[in-house]
Amino acid sequence: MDVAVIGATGAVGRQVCTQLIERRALPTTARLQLVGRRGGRSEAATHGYRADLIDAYDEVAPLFDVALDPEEVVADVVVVASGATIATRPGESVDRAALARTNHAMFAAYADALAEHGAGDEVVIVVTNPVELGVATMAARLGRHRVIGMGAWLDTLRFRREIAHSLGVRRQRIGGFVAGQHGDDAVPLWSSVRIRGLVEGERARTVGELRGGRDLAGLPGEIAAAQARLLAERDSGRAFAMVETWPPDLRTVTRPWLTHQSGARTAVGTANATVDLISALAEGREIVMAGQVDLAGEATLAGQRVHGVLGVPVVFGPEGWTDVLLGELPPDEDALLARAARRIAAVVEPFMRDGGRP
Amino acid sequence: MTEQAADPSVPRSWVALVECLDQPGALMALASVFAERGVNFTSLATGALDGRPGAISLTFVATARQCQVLRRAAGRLTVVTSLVLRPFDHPGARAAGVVRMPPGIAFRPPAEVDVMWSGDSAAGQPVLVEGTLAAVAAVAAAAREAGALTIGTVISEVR
Repeated sequence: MDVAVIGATGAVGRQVCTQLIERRALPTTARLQLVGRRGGRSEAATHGYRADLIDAYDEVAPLFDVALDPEEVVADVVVVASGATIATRPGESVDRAALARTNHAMFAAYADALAEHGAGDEVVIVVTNPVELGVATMAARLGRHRVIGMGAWLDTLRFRREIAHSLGVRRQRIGGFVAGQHGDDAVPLWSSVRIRGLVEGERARTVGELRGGRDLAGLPGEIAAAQARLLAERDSGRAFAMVETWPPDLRTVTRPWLTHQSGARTAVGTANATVDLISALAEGREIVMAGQVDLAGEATLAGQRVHGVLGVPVVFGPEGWTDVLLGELPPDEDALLARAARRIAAVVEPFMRDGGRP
Repeated sequence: MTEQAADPSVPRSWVALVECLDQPGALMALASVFAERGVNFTSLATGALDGRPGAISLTFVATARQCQVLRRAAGRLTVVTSLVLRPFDHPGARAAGVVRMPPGIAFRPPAEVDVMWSGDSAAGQPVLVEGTLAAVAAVAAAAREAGALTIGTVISEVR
């Protein structure tokens, strides 16, 4: 199975490549295509990065290939990790509209190239933000089921970790999903949480304690208030310590936000979640995960079928995503997820009016 | 028949001439591209151009879409320096063959097959043929049907 990483020399792209090799996710006969941009800073860096990877991993590395134009992308799995990123300096305002415009053009360019030159069955994993816009743009050209955004999977892993951390156990004992948007409109699905070793009644009690008597209706306000408090805290150590005192669902959104604000970025965790998906594909496994997908009525929220991109639990396998696993939700989850769907649509739809073309 | 005119869902035969770097692992890298995608070689020969190391001729069966995928994936290998891929019956694919018949058995290529040939098999001579790959393959099939002892074919050109 060949993998292309678009934006291979970026922070996340580098981590994806390194982790793919370190975790032996690709055999030595597979090709890892490092995709940069001709005429950009990454052109020379991509060649250099290839040399560095060979230097480090020659004993176990896959075959390397450098591509600098969208039409040169050739792979079975394409990871989209290029483009502009959200500002990382504390207090710096985020021009999300500009981010969306910049990255939409990049999404469209690669989607067009894959549509014209590709095999017709590549699975595309969108990492770049806004991930929902990336999924919408690429799904419009390549087909809905071949494109998935990994933001909800990363959020899910974070949610599971925060619950595990609160319980003093390791993440692998925790199940559950985060749906919605990859960002402030993420929706932790408490109703999906499972804790290995606890039966239903024990789990309900434990989840109730973790939630502290709150429901999701107040989460957006809590997130906004938390971010304001963190921005006001000049000492980063105290800021991270503040996060530790909050409930797991609030920490799921605020800890990575603070990490990004700190300048450290979240490349390692993001790459880990991405490589999880690639490994499943390489091994021919179908897994249940959460991801941003372009729905055409497969889910119902607030009594209406959802059309458009939304993070939801899905079955994901070698041909992309198939089934949506979103049963009937408690009222607070249903309402917040429906709100997230509307807010995502408000961002995405203006870019899709002309068939998704920039 | 051009690639574009073929029904894309029907597998058909293809021929490729690949020039690789003359180094260990080059053939394996090329073969892995096909193996990973579930496509087997129906024939493969190295040293295909005047015995030049690194030249590989191969034939396989695949759909037009699969063929395009294989072409693009193989073309991305750093060990591949050039790749020409054509439908099996393309006029640019040429081959030569040698047929040895049992003693006393006369064999000549079928009249409808356009090849250059020589040799009196009844007199114990090998029958040598040259033409398009498809034509030489047709002669080989006829010879097999006629009970040939040995049949050897080599792809001489793909352009």
